[in-house]
Amino acid sequence: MSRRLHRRTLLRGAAGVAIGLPFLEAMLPRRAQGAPAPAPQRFGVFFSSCGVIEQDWLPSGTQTDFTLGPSLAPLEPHRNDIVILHGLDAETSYMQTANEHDLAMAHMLTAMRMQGSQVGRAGHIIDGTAGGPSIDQALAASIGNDTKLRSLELGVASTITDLEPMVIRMSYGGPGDPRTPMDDPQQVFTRLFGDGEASEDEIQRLHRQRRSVLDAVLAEFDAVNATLGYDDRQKLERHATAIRDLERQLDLGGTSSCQVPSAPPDVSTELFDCVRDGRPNKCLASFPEIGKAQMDLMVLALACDLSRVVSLQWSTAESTIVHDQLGISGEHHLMSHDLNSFSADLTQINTWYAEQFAYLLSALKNVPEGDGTLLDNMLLFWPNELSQGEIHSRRGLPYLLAGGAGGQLQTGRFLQYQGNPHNQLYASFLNLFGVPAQGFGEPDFPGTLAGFV
Amino acid sequence: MARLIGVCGLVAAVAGSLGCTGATDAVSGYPVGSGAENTSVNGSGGAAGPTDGSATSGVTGVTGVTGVGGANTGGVQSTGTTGAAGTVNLPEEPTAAAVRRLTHVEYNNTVADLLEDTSAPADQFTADIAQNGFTNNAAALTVSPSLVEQYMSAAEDLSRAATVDLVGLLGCDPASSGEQACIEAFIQDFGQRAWRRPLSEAERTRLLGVFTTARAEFELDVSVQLVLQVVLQSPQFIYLLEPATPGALPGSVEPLDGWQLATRLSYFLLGSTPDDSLMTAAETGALSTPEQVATEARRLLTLARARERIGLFFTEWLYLRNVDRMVKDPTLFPDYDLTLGPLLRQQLELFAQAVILDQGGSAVDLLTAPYTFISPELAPIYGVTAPSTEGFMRVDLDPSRRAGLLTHAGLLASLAKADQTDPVHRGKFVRERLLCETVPPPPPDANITPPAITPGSTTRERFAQHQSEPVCAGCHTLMDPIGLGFEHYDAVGQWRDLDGGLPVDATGTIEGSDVAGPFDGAIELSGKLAQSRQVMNCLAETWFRFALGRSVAPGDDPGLRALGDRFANTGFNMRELLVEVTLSRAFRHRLVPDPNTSAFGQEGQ
Repeated sequence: MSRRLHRRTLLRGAAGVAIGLPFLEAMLPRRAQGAPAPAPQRFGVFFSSCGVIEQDWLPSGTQTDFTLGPSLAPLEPHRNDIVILHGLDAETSYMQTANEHDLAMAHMLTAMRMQGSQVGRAGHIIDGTAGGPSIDQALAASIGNDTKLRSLELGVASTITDLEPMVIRMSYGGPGDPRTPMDDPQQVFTRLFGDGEASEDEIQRLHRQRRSVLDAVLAEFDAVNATLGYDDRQKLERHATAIRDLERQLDLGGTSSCQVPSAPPDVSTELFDCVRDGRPNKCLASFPEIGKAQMDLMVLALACDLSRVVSLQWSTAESTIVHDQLGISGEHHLMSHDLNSFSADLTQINTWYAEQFAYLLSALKNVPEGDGTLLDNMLLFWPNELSQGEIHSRRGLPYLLAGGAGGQLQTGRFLQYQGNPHNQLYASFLNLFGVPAQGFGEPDFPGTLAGFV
Repeated sequence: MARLIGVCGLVAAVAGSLGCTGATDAVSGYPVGSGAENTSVNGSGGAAGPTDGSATSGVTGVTGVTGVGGANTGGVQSTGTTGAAGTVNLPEEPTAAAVRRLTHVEYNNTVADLLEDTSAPADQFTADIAQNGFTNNAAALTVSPSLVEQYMSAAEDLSRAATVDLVGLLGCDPASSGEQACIEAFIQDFGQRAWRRPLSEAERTRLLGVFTTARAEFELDVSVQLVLQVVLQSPQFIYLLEPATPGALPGSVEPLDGWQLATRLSYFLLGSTPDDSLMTAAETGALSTPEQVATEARRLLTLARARERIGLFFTEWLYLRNVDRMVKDPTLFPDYDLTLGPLLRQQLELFAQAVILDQGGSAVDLLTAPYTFISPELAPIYGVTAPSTEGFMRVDLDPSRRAGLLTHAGLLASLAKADQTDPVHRGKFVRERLLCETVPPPPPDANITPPAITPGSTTRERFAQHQSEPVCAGCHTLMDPIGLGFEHYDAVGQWRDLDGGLPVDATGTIEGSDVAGPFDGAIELSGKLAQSRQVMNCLAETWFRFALGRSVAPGDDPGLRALGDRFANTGFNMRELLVEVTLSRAFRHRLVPDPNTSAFGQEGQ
């Protein structure tokens, strides 16, 4: 057993907050750099909020011969790797009445009616939860079994503590089971590479200890569960499932295909959580820098095959972010309700997100796999919870996909639909990953998306 | 839009009816009982809003408006309590209380009290979020796989640190007393403290088995570490469990046992594990009567952790975390910098703690007392002479300008924009936090960006459209005329006489409620609110939510009415309110859940 490199013996990443592509290249996994092993298929979500200005976002032209609008112009270098998807509706979100931001976020990835009955401030459902699993978690249940983490949820400013939960969370294992993203790159790094400094023998010893502890903890869960009511048992059973998943991680062994990268520079010391206009925010340009660090870690996790299902949540629904980095002083959500004054600013924000998406695509393309790249073996989905933020519309949604899903998805296309339920897209996603599905989410909207694959 | 105006109209109507004596049942609108109202939000829409209006207001204003000043409560209508012991002649049912995990704050406190480890490992956990304002709400305390990993790491670190002084931890020396006997004693003693009740024989056997198996391969200290890790990752530690008596009928109500009650008391009032005295009280059956519970509650309120807990309650209730890192426009407020935020928050906590714990506990004082605690840094904001020493000192304030919670600069500044005041959110704050009403969100097509500051205009003028446009006025009438009462306090909470060069007009009106009517300025407004039974009932309801770690459910209505009355009987003493909450039937009882059916009518909530 070779002793893996001690973290401190490795070169530090590039100075400053951003890790950037040089960091990634230096840290490329051994296997990914050369091994021809059949590449696994991955799924990712990149979420930004508050809708788009349709005339700036919508391409012009035909399915294969199209011109990108200003909002998506940064993706021009990647136009052959993307599918622009317009005209799907989150129709399930019109089956019930609640705060429309709650509905938009709860339905975005679940395509299912949310649960809950107590209405609180600003009409938020204060005892709410999703009606079913989100598409990322549904896929993780199927393709996440062979990696350290079934899924990896990353955030940038995703945990705004004075908003209510339904607008904060987008990813759910099921009702009552939101998957909390990590907003701190240091925490993410520790989660991915936490055991990195130990020798192989030390790791084996640690794993034997953990296994005996976790076995005993599970026995306590079993004993306690027998005394509880139905609802509490469900809750504790989810916890026990996560513990069993830790045991599964131990079964995978301590070795990773990657050498332990140097820790990302201490972004957390650069974080600046501020409160502006009464709302928590990210100030002094830390927002883009955290996002970049998280995208780098996302690529690293995928390249090292530590997880095959990832998501990056830039903000909550009804984003409270003030985009200082663009010289825009208004809060994203507030501006989205005043197109007369701010439509140019809103397009500028959406264009900026497209630049970040383009950065992520470049990073994914920078990881060679077999004859292609990591992006070829991925399906990356960029949803928005709204189409027109100013009226909270969830119809005619602006969706974007990238990656070939292992050669199954023909990219370089602009697909326009006329109100198909977004359930059908997710059913098609499942099929792309080998999960037979006639539908997803609310059974009232069955089927897969015609003309997609 | 029509729906929203309709909702606001209804809120106003409901609020208006609250002043009417004897409106109890009509206002509540709920049948007594539990569970039946947990309908889904699905279906033929629109019902949620109106239900909400009565749900949040239903417990308020149920008795006539009376003076609440001082201890004179002779005129308060009682619904039939028999004093602090709280035998209530109303049907009052505990509703299903979900098992909840420790909050991160509680986790840190608990390991500090249990292991004398103040490393605060939960600060490294992914942050808790609040639901309905509070982080201890069971519905918000979900567990993601990432948190399970963090629990494991924390348990490993804590166990390693704890075994540095192994003999001290074990309470016996394995070398002299024998390893087996020592470990058995440790498991019994530490297990009981960590799991907040005596361990069953099966539990002791299992933990001893962990030790024995580990000891066959690992060193003594490592083997103890593994036992500790099991204890700290088990549900008996991470969750506040209240298993029903075996054989108890689902749907029936039974009293908590002493250990469970001790645990509720401790996590409500201290945010931590029961101390030795409380454990002894549980063990000796000394929590059997309301008098005994009250005695323990009053004792707990003298402890340092109770002071912290009250600070946390105010931080969460009033969203004071937002005060910590407020950014203000540096050109307009060159003297404001980020170091002031935490001090402004601390000031609010100190004031609340002093009123409740040190100055008699009057809720009227909370809203009207003309003093606060000032540090040298904060003196300029209040226009007072800076204390000559570092830290906070109690200072009397000009009672015509500052009196009570609502005139504290931190609160006013957090309810303001970076460059101007925010009458909408200041008014909404009073509606939601003090009157326990909800105001619906603006319709999506409303322009909700604050009007730009124009020279020579006042904030009041810039927000005039909210009153002149019928579409806006439906809801804004509930908020703006209250919020404009705070116009003497600028965006950092400093007193001002001029706004945009023009004299400040701080007159306002409360629409609805039992103290409806005009007022001039925040001092008068605070005085009115201090006379409001609706505000007092709201305080009681809010502490009740915090104590139970859940939202209010329809079955709570009778209990909340009784609690409001008992609060009145104390002369609206906040400290006694906390005691009264622990005496409520909901706090001391639990509903036996059904092992096979969800209480939420749907699978898996």
